[in-house]
Amino acid sequence: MQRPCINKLKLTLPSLSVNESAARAIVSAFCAQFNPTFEELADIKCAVSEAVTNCIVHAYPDTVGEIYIAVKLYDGRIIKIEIKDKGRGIEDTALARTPLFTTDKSGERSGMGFSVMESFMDKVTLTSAVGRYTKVVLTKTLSPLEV
Amino acid sequence: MLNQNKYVTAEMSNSVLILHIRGEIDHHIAPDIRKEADDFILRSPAASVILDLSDIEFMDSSGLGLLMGRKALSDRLGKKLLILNPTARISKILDLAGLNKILNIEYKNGGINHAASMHQ
Repeated sequence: MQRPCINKLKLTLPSLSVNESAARAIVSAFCAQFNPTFEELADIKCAVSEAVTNCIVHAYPDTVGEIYIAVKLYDGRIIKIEIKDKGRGIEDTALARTPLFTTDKSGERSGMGFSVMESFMDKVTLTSAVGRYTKVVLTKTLSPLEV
Repeated sequence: MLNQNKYVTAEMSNSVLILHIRGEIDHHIAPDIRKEADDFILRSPAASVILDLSDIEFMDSSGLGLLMGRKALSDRLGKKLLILNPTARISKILDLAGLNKILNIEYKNGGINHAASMHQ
């Protein structure tokens, strides 16, 4: 049975790189109502930054499109963050998730974006259709509040 | 000597070029940091470079690319590169990517000049 959703946030931003910091700041500010630890909040910020950067770099490489972010807070201190674009999509999602895989040839990108998301969140799902969309869902259950 | 740009402040100590980096390192500002840092590295005759990360509170995987790129540049120029005082958050992501095995990383409480004298 699905736990009840306590609170939710919807946010749409154009895929401008200046919005990377805005996206992670807004999402982490919203998640702060669950009183996460500093470490948990920093993990969330970093994972969101990775997913949003992917939209900017890969989904809309030559154009500015919309990035749709939805955050849901569930009973049991569960945070679910959906980051979706309507960009060019990913042909091989398994390859895209492979550590160190990058389409970049300059040597200035690490190919560690998905690895960071996977390491900092409890669950990461990636779905995509070429020419239509890519959706990343990040889930994290926060540690119990100390009383 | 202190030479201050938007994200990188350069200083010479014991013939070592020290670059103090600030800001949140993400894909948006990484190219600016890269440009400022490379400008200092290419202009300086110093054979050793320290990237001081002690003021960096946020870095995502864009920072990994930035550090790998500076390491490649330093190698090409025959300069030694030291990453100084990454915060716990930054260390976590460096370890995850295995950069702790590739980069020369040091944690020093004895001040920047001490680090520079050791890195000469």
